[in-house]
Amino acid sequence: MTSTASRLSKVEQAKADRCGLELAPELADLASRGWEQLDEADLTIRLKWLGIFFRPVTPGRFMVRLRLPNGVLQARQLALLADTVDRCGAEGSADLTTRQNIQLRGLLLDDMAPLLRDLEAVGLTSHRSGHDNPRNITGHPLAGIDPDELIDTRPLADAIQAAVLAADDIDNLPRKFNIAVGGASDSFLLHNDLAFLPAERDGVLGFAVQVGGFFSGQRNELAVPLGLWLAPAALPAFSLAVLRVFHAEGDRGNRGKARLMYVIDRLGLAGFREAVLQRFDGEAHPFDGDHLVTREPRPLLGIHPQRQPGLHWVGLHVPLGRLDAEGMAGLARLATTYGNGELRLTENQNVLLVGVPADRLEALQAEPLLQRYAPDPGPLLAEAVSCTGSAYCGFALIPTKTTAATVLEGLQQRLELPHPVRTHWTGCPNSCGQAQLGAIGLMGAKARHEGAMVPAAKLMVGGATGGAPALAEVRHKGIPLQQLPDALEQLLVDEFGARRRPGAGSV
Amino acid sequence: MTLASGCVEPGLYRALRGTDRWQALQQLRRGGLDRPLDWLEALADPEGGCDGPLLRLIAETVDADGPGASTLLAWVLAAPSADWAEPLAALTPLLVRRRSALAAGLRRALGRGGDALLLPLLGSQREPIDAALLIDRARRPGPADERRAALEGLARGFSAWPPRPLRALLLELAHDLDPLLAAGAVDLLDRLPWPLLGLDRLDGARLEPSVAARLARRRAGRRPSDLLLLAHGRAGGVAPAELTSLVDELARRRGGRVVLQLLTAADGAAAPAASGEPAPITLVPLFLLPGEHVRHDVAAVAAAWRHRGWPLRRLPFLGAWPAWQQALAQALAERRAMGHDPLLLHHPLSGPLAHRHGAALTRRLGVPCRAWDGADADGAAAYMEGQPSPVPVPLALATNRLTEALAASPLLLQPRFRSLLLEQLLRLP
Ligand code: SF4
Repeated sequence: MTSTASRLSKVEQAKADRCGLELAPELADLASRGWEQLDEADLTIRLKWLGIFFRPVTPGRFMVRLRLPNGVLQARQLALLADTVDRCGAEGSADLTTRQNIQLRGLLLDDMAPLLRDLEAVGLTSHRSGHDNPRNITGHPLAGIDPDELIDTRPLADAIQAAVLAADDIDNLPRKFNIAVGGASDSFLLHNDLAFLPAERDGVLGFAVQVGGFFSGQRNELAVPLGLWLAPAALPAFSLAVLRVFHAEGDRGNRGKARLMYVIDRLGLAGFREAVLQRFDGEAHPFDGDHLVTREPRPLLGIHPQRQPGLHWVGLHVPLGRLDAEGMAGLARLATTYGNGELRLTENQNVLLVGVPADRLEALQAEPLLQRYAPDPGPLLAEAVSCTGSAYCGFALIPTKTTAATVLEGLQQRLELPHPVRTHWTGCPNSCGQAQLGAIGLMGAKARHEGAMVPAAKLMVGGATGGAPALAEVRHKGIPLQQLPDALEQLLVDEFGARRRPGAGSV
Repeated sequence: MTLASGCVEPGLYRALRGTDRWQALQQLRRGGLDRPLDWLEALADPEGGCDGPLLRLIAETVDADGPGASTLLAWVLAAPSADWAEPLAALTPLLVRRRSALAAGLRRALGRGGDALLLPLLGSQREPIDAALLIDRARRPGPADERRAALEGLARGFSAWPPRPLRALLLELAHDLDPLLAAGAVDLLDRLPWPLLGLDRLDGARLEPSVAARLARRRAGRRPSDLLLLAHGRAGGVAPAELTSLVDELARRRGGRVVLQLLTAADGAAAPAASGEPAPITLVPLFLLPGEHVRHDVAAVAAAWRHRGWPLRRLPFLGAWPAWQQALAQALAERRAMGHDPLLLHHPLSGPLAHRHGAALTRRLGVPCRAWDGADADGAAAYMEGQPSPVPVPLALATNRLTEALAASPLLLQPRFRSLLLEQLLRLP
């Protein structure tokens, strides 16, 4: 029982009764006896501790979310995921998420026990990837290959994940928790509960700690400086200390006010810092200097030279962040045929092939798969981020992915843009698609149009993710989807330097 | 509009009909609905726009096991079937668990033009009585979307259906002209216990090319099941070398686990001899006659393994396999052709079934078949006296007292029988 809880909510009660990880040995048996043997809390809450999501929109077809620290994925791992999705036929697909992660859709409960075993065999896990858990640990997608890198985030993200999964005293947090590590001057991470930003102290490179970032239907906050600097090796233990404070102090009576920022509000920043330091058995130094994140995230698509002479990364656009089995198997093949067998996932829901030698670039560009996953999809599609939307999410007010694709493709045909423009699409105020971070943000809404309520998008403008971060501000409470292309076209012309192509008709 | 019950706060109701609907719904979600069914009136309001999300909230709140759940489903299904899609999706909180009353409601609504929506939900309900209905709807010629929906229903309730008719249907559908249906059938065959049992019966050359490619991918990902070989044990518990060498070769060539469990008179249904993660396993009784072990112990051994969580499939005892009987007949015929007069000797049997089998064997093989219970070589020699030009052939798979007494080779040491058995076991899915 926590200091703030007066009574346990239904979710808290379910978590207190039993940890979802205990369901692991029962999976095979459940498959043969059927998922109706699970009680409702097992089905809709506890299975998420194993990364298994019951999907009310498709009862009987489950989703599995993995953990991919720093978004690093090996081709043989992707090949296994491709095979898993392939076995689900027309129901199977995979989403790339805004946390550099993958979730597989269309699986039957019968698939789970063998899948979890197979994942382990190739060094993957889905444990604690959903619900009130520390989510996938993100890092810089160019870690280890970036000519402008400050620090390689891969070992740090790995170490934080290992520490988090090994700690059994934080497997029942009050709410989800996002951790990210920055490795370059374009690491925008302030939407995380706990962000480690590269920073120098006395000439030594380490991390400035920022805390409390999150977006929700009720409140949107960027993370604030905690006033501490850490050496890289301290990150795992420090993350655990923060999680333990969150575990002890988070609000378990009201899930709407359970995220870390509410704990910081209640304890005060100094009180929160003190509480963390009491639980941290390491060195943390007071710090009021600047961190080294000073610019907007770079465009990652296309061909770019790596730090390693003669090698390149090739960023490929995955339309809507959605993959099918054939596409996944194809990408795995490209990674081994042309690159070093490794892929990176970006927070923009795209894929990077890495370690491609210069003399292989031409052949790679001639691959038919690059028609589907283009290195140069255009200035709007390249920087579009979208949540799941109504296809799979019961909260959605609009179908985000298909709306985004249709509208942006149309705009690209009509407009010439001098530079990419980041659009973030989210189906409802929960803002999984982080609409507040978009140069243009679109959020599902309803509007009255010609006397009827129709699907619409709230328009936000001005989200900045560079040296002077800012949340986008609301420009319009609800533009009917029908009118959205025209409204965006005008906005792009007026404020983003777009020019109408001669002869292009209306979108 | 005023709600008849008066239980709905007017401001909130107005908000639900306006642009702040999402926030109003969140407020309702947090506060809960006291009398959820009273809200149906708001849903019926054509001006309200209070459709899917509110219905979902009502479905989340109503007692799923009470009469209100059936009322809600009936309310949705009372509309023309063209309007079912969104409301039915909103009702899934109710339909996540097997509830016979709701399954009956879904069943009753079939045939009104919305079957493609209803059949997957009915499958999710996993009511055993719906197996035949879903199988029939997937098989019967009809609109493609309805046949696919029936197959999806079978997928969603997969482990609830009897495997044999399901396998038969899937083998049939794999050849269907609708490639989506055929592909789905191949994927589901791959999920049945002993997937190769079904997959190996399909001939890729007769399938649509994309389905054949899918079949090849599914087969490539499968290895044969583990094997449990049951055989006679010997005093001291030592396995004859010819048996252990068979086990070693099988394990090497099949690539899975091969467990040898020896039965003695004393410990007929011994507990599983193998440890490790349970996995599908095929029980092969390496007995040549239907004695006590075949009639009683095999079933007990199977039950013990299943009890430990091993999905187990039982094969008939080796002596009843047609290929084995043919090989035996051939070997005896060759002996006769050489001028010998073979006599099959086996250990004593009890029970009418065993005697009938012995008689049938004599008829089929055309040689006499006798039980021998002598304990030593002298006894065997004495037994042989008085038999007309007899060539005793011990009906024994591996070395035992009989083969030792007669100084004869057990069948497993004869190349013909060993390679036949090996070949048959290697072919098992
Ligand atoms: S933002 Fe809303 S609609 Fe989109 S995935 Fe999150 S909850 Fe669903």
